[in-house]
Amino acid sequence: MLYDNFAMLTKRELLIRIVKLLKEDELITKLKYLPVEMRPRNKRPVRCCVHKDRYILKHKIISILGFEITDEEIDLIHLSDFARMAMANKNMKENILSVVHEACSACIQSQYAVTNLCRGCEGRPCVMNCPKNAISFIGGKANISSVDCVSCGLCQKVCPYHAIVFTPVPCEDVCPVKAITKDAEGVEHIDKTKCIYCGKCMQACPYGAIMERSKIIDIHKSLSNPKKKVIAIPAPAIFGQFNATPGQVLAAIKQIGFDDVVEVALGAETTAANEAKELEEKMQEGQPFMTTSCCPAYTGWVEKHAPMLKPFVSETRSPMVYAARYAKEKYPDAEVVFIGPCLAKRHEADSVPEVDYVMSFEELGAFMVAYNIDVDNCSEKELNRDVTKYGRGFAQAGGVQAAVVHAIGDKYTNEHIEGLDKKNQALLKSMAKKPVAQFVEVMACDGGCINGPCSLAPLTLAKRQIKKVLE
Amino acid sequence: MEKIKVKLCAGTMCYVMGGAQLMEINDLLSDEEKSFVEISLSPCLQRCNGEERPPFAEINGKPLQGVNKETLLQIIKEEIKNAVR
Repeated sequence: MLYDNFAMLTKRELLIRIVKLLKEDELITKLKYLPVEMRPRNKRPVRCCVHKDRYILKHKIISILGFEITDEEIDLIHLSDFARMAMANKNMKENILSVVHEACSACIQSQYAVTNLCRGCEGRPCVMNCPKNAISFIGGKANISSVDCVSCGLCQKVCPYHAIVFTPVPCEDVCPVKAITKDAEGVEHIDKTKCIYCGKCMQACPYGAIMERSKIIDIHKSLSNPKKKVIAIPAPAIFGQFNATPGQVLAAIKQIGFDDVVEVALGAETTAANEAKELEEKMQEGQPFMTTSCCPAYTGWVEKHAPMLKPFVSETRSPMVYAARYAKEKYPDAEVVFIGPCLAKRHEADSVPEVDYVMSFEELGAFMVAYNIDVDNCSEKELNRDVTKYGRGFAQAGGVQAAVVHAIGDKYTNEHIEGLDKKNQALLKSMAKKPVAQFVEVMACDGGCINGPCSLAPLTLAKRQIKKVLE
Repeated sequence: MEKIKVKLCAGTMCYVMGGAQLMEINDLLSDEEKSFVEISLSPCLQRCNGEERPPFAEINGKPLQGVNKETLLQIIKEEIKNAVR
């Protein structure tokens, strides 16, 4: 759901409470109280009863702790034991995205359906206009045959009483690659071979049933270990998230306990330079066009669903990679934590040895709340002079395009594409034969990274805050 | 007529728990309504540790809790009506 909703708030509340427990070193002793504190008996339950509410919370907590949640055996293990195992590093969750079986409401299949607002009118435009003759009249009311219906939506349009509705399955409807489907019981499962980790299903589920793999336990352990050096590398989109100056935002991140903060925008400067060089080379070699490669959901989509585009995707690494390498060079024994709005980065980072952990902006917010850090109260941290507004501009759609054009001049036609909806997927695939421009920036999220699935600020606000920074 | 003072908590807790959208309340006011209201951001109002639900705000000193853009807009409109009377 694109609007603020309670499922989103529950996830954030869980993150905040867990980090608070970690801060006081009380995870093992007090984790078990969380479901009871958050769903007390005297408050109205959200699902059928308070016990179901608590059960679902338990599963969500276990997922945040870093364990697989698909096995039924987890019901036999107490939350305190999960806390113990997590603190002892026994949490090796593989899946980046999983469906909490108990929370999934198994929404009925997407279909057009006639409600009881149907008046069985004489006109019956639904019957007359259905291209598949799928509507008949039973008991004086219209009835759609699910076998014949092709979901064209015409009946809904023509009904004079608005009696026909489309019952969506939010996660399935928003998935660009049909990676999430129902099993025999109607519960959703994510097909890893198709999933591009764009995170749209996670945002769309009105029950918050889809959870991401979290490393906050491991990150907190490293931060509280005096012998370990930990460097934060926040994505350029960070400056759109808070109502504060960049210096304050970086200072706030450092205050959580990181030994230093290196802007990924620094890596973006390298990405822009390398990409410009690569574009020049490819154009000289006669290649028809080149796309960016910094959006991991897009490159994942090419890998799994549009291999014909593979030869045209840039080989330059993403800003995260260059920034992580810089951090490792400057601090050879340190752990590097990427902080971003992106779910797919968790997948990209799995194959980048220089990045040790990925933290989302939501998780960052939870740390700030738990550690009582008010961003606009922080004193400014000095910014790296090697980072320009072009590197920071990677935060929004069109930013990479602008940076590369700035580096290479307006020599080649350039475009940017936001969002991997059906239309854009078809457009991109058709570019293998007929490109729309010689250089194309592709972002899986509308508006670019500032609108990523793990971002804190709504897009319109983030755009304004980024504009102030890029002036 | 004294302007109606609306204070939005800009503390990180409120921001993370739904307060970010409140920052755009100005967009929902008509030009006329804007002339009656003065919206400011306050550092953490320190109400997050109790039983109340964030995000927090204040209108002419009156404490509000768990507001969203729409409910706050209604409260502001009501306050303008009362003040103009």
